Amino acid sequence: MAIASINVANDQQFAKGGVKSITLALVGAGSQAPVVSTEGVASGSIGTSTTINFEKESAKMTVSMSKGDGLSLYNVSIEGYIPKVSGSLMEILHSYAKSDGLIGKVSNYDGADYLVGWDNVLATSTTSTDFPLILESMEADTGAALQDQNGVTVKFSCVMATPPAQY
Amino acid sequence: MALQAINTSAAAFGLFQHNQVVPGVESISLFQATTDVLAGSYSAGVFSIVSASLPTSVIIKGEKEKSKMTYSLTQEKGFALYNISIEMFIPMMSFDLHTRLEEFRGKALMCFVDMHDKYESATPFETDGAADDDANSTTLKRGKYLVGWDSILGTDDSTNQNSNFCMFLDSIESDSGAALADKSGVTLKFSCVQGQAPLRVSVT
Repeated sequence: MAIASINVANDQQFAKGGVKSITLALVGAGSQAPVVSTEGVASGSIGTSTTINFEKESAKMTVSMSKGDGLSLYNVSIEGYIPKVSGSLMEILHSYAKSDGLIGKVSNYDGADYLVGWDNVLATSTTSTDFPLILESMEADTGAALQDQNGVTVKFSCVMATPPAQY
Repeated sequence: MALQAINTSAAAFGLFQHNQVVPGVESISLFQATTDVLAGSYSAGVFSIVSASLPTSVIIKGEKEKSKMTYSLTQEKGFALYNISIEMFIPMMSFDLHTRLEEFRGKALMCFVDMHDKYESATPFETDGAADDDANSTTLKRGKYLVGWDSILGTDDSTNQNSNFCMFLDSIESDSGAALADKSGVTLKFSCVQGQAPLRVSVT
């Protein structure tokens, strides 16, 4: 895509912040067929998936680009808070940690969905990439006082050669 | 081919365009010289082969960002030789992997090297080239090179290309690691001598 101008419309100045949920699929999951157009628009299914809902106003996606001598690399990170620590929740998160890699769709409160963990440049095919999304860390905290929060902070991250494409 | 200029501000070798090339070896497809028939054609630096004629091969896929191909040219008294080296890291040291690697001992090998980088059909071939269809996954092709055969040291028989200077397994280095955070795995090194740089492969 050629360089283009960036205009900020009035309604864009009041875009809602925050990530609502992330839908995750294993790399190579059934019916996986993500497509990113020349304009960076995502379409197609990420395959058989599950969804993690975050506590409101706790989750965010950050995308940072760095370019040294070589390739422009996008470090994508999704961090959020899941309330109420439980054995079953930690076991589910452990299954994400053990997986061979994930493809995700990040849903924001402003209505935009982004494809993470898969891009045209680094992926081998629509069902294979060596640079998927991974569960980078989880931190469960029961709190101490009764009014403390009880929950798990999770962080997913991936490296991409292009920015996350928007659905 | 006549001498040509190399200019980092030109399209073909553009400094900024080629900064978008994705580094690293994704996997190698190994096959035994003569036993697994290599039947393609060579022309102008490109080795062409139809997909139905691809030799039966085994794939070695290294851990991402830990596998690379290097080659160096030395020219003494007029004869140019390329020393090509492929280094790969396979995670998890295991007995099964060890026994599989044993089979590579003493075998004359050739391989196709698949790169992480993809290229377009038009010049300058790379993922961020002027034609700019890098976002179209259907037209991109993964960079692929042939190692173990070249048109100068090898015999150019289109029914079974062979060479007396194939690729060999140079070394195996297994490391179990010590601390829990260490990596357990095996570093493999393959090397060969060629009269030409690794040929770009076109599979049709």
